[in-house]
Amino acid sequence: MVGSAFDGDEAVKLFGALNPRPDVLLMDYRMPIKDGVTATKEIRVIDPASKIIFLSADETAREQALEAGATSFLIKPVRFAHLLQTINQVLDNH
Amino acid sequence: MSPLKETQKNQDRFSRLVDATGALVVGVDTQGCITLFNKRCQEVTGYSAEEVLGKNIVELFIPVDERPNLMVRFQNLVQGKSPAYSPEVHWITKSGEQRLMRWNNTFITDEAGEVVEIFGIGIDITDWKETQHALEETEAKYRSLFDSVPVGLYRTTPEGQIHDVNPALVEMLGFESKAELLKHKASEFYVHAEARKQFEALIIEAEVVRGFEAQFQRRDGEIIWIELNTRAIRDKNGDIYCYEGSLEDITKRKEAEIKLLAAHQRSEFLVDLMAHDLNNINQGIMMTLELIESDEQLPKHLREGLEASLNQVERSAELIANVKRFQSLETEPRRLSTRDLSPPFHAAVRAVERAFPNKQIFLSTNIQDQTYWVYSDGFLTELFFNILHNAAKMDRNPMVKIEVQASENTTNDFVKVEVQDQGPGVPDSEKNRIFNRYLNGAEGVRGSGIGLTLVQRILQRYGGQIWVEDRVAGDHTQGANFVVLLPRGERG
Repeated sequence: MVGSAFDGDEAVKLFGALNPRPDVLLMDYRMPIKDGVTATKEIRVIDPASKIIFLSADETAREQALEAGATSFLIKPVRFAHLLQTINQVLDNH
Repeated sequence: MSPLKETQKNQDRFSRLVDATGALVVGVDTQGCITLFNKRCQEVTGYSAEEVLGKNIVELFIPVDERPNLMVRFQNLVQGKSPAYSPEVHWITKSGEQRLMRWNNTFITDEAGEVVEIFGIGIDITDWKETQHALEETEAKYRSLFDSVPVGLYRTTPEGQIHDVNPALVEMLGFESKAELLKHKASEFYVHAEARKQFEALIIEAEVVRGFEAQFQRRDGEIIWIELNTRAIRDKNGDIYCYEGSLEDITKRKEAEIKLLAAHQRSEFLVDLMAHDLNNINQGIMMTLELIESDEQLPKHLREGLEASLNQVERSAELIANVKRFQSLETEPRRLSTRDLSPPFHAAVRAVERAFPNKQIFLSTNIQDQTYWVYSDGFLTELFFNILHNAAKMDRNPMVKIEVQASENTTNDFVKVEVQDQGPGVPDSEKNRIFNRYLNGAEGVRGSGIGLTLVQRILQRYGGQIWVEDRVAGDHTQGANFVVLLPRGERG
């Protein structure tokens, strides 16, 4: 199943409400209301085992994202194959 | 003691006293003939007492042009009139030198009250006068400099009362005259009282303030930017009695700086906007194209078209990434250190392989860990990425062959890295231009992006060089040889 949230705030609320939890999350960086770094931190608090692939067009966000608890970081635009490969890697490693 | 002996004793005491004094003591009779000439007089004039006694003082010592005035005074003295002031008179010494003396005169009279002898007690003020004159000259010279220099100069009390200003400052602050400006206190000119407080704190702490910038309000209300350089001056007791310094109108410079900062912020905003929003758009296009591409029914010619479009999107993303890197090159401070060439080089190779998933890149190199050390920073990966990316991009062949050879030249302290490809090469007419697309503003950024220009900029940062040669000399169509010189570092 695939679901989506409009912004970071909605993502955190949705994640908290979902049972079972999503296997993997794709997190954007710049979003209205709550950005990806804050949302990542909050989701990791709810579930420290959550797997979050952070996507941003801004390479400088990499460090912040990984510090916040992102499992992986991809620079936009990302090729489909590369995205799938990363999802598989994240799922295999955990 | 007999009266005679008493008189002799007094005379003896008088002569000793007269000779012991550091002052000039001279006595003349009413005709002006010298009756007394003490030791100091002899030292200063070079004449002995015997040489001058009985001779006319005016004829012997006084320059011709000063004689008439002196004669008037002398006649007054002879008539028993006490002089009202101490005259300054030149004496000509035995060697012909003129010395300036200041005299106090007195006379003695006989029982009838007639003046019989006149005494002069004087000091030689020649040296003192010369020093004073030199001081006056120096003062005048500095005053003239103070008045003519185009920078505002001032002196204030520690409380900010203005003591002195030069014409440049009067004009800078929009006053008609110096007197008018001196009625104001320094603190009145500050637009922000906080700035004055800050300045006071600095001067109290350090006693010297350099390059302090503040906004001043001129008399006509106009606000200007000024730069202050001030130091505290202490008196002989060690107390600060004034501040003196210079004041420069830097409004034009400040406006230019503000404009530059605004332009910089604008460019940062635009680059950020482009990097973020355009790449989000690129992401959308890329995903859509890839979804279409995943349709197995898709005809071959459309698939080829899609693949070409995807390459274009990637090129667009790469261009945007390079623009971002350009910006960080401008803003990041330059901190070079000795680094192993191998890790950044091989990171660049891996990044290029990822960037061309549909090409096979065969790269051979002698660059191994701990072999070559260069002075560089974190941009080294970008540097090789762009050279290798350019080589892989230009080669139409799906099998891209690149050879990279490094060598050390100990005589000129560079590590030379040659990157040879088998792409279409670079015609002679383009060999210099490909590194400078950014600078050829009018022509704009053309076809192959700004990767090599970025390489050039990184090398400028390192003090290195790059140029391109033909892989096979004289035939550019056989591929290019990019030669990079990097400053050699010590083995880490």
